[in-house]
Amino acid sequence: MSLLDVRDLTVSYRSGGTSVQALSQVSFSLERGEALGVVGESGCGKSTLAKAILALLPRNARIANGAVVLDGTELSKASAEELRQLRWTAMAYVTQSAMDSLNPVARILDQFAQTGRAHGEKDIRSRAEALMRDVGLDARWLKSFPHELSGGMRQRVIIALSLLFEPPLLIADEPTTGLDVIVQRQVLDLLRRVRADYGAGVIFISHDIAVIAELCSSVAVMYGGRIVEKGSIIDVLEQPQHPYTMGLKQAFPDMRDARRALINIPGSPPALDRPVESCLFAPRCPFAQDVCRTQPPPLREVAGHEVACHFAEKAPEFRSRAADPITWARPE
Amino acid sequence: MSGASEMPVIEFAKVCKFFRSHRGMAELIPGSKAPDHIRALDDISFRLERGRVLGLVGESGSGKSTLANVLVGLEAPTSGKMLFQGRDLATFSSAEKRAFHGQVQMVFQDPYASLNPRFTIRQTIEEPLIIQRYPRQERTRLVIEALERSELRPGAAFLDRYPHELSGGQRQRVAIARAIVLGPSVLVADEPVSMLDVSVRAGILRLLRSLIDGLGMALVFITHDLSLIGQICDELMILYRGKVAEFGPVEPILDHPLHPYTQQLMAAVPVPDPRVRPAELPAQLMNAAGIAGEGPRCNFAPRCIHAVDVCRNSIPAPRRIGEIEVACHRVEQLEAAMTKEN
Repeated sequence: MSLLDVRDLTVSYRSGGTSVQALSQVSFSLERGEALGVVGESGCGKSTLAKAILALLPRNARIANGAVVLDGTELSKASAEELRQLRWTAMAYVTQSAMDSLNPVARILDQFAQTGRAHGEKDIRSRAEALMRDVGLDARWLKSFPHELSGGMRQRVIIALSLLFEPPLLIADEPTTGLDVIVQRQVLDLLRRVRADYGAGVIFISHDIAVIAELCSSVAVMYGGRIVEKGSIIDVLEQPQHPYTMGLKQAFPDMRDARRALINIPGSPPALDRPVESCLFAPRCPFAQDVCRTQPPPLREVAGHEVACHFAEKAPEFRSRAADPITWARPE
Repeated sequence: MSGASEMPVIEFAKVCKFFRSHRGMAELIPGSKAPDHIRALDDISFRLERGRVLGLVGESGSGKSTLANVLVGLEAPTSGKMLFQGRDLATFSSAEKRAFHGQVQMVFQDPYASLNPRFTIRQTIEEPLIIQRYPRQERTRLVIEALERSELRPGAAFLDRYPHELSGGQRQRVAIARAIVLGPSVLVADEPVSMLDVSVRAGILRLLRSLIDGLGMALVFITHDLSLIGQICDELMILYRGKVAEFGPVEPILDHPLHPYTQQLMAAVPVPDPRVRPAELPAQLMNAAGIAGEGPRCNFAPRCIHAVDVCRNSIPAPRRIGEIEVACHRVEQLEAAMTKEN
């Protein structure tokens, strides 16, 4: 049995009179020790996915369909009390700008203690000290208030806190966004070590494919609330089958080839407030044909990984064309 | 501007900016003598010409935002001079100051925060024209022209729209249109693409570059993302705790960084290749991160794997290696050692 099973997950938000389908039929499973990257841009549903798994969706969101099963427990049907017990012990969440989620008026040690007490652990001092050392911080910082720590140190405290009960599932949403380069390197090195030492199943959510490439063994690319491509990190990044993945890869800078012309994907992300009768990427896709504008492509297996593109068989040809910025240029 | 092309549009001559310190964290570190002021900028000199893009890279606390604030006239240097078209800004009359503020414009990081959500696009872009007292009939024409130069076409179609109706990339184009509407000679862009989706970043960078080339402006491009520098910049300045660590043309620095700090920064950037296993950074680089300290020394010495006594006892004067200016006592030695190795 997988650690985590997400099946056909569909989530919609109501706002005003409209309903937006932020996630549509998302399915995947995560094994113990696996690190899955979820990559995509603003509005693609990646943060909604994290919140849906953790049962942290806001009130105006509704799981319209599907299930989330963690270690045999169906989270999507669990009671508030069951969820409270599972948080921190079975699953932990390192949020975007997590460094701002520490309580500003409590010393770091007290924040460990509070989390411990919530789960019936009275004496966590030695555990807290060990965790601080694990994340590369001197235990004396336990006596400090959050404002006395730098952003990178706070981020490491949050990661240490998330490991307090060694949860089998850890979800980290943009864990290094906004950090300085060297601090980011420090946090990345830490996350790689955590992944190896604790054997947890980890989901890393990021727009940054370099961060995902470094931390993850597999990756799911999201667009318009759907998984459009999924497979091993090497397969997907080296032989992308979906034109969106090809575009992202060509849009992303690489230190080792700093002058390479980056491409710009024309257009904007799709609106998700109406029924979908096409490939959502079609309006921005340089390879789109008529069928792409009239039929949504199913997620299917092609050459070793999953992809939702009508023309995935032509991927080798598309890849060489996608490398040329002219392919993506569009007269306004 | 005939005959004036040799004159830099901006020149920093030994600019220093010190702030009073509230001591703060340093008090917690046993035995540390906290300085009573922070040297946000310490003896910065450079010239910036029209048509050129200067990349400014440094961590938080490096002084890059202070440098931008001095450059746009929001902060006055503690010592040294900031010259605009050859004249010291400190000597400007208030009318000249107002003209200067029209000539030096900023593009901010977050187009979701920098645009007033209650202003239409026209109101946003028109505001600087009103401040600079342009007649009404001319304003609409200039607003549309700025929108179209920012590749929002037809410009007239955007006038009555609100920021929330636009995508992130379009909003940043509006912010750029506002910055160029007065026909400035200098733009300062502070992380202009870091909040934008990856798929639209290249378009914004290309737009900025073509505006610089087409309108003969100069651009200061502030970023912490070294991988973007090669996309847009001509020159690169690496700041470390208020001092220039390395400064020169982009290509030789990216190909072969000389300062140990630049080398570490470049090694720390993740690359989008799952087969690359990054080397862990030296422990020194991490440990001393929070410690400021005082005394004549190389600011980077506490974190530098190559530091020796001279680095801890005296401030390295900038020296030239080829086209690059680098402030490191040991750069010749380290380069010689590296040549021997290869």
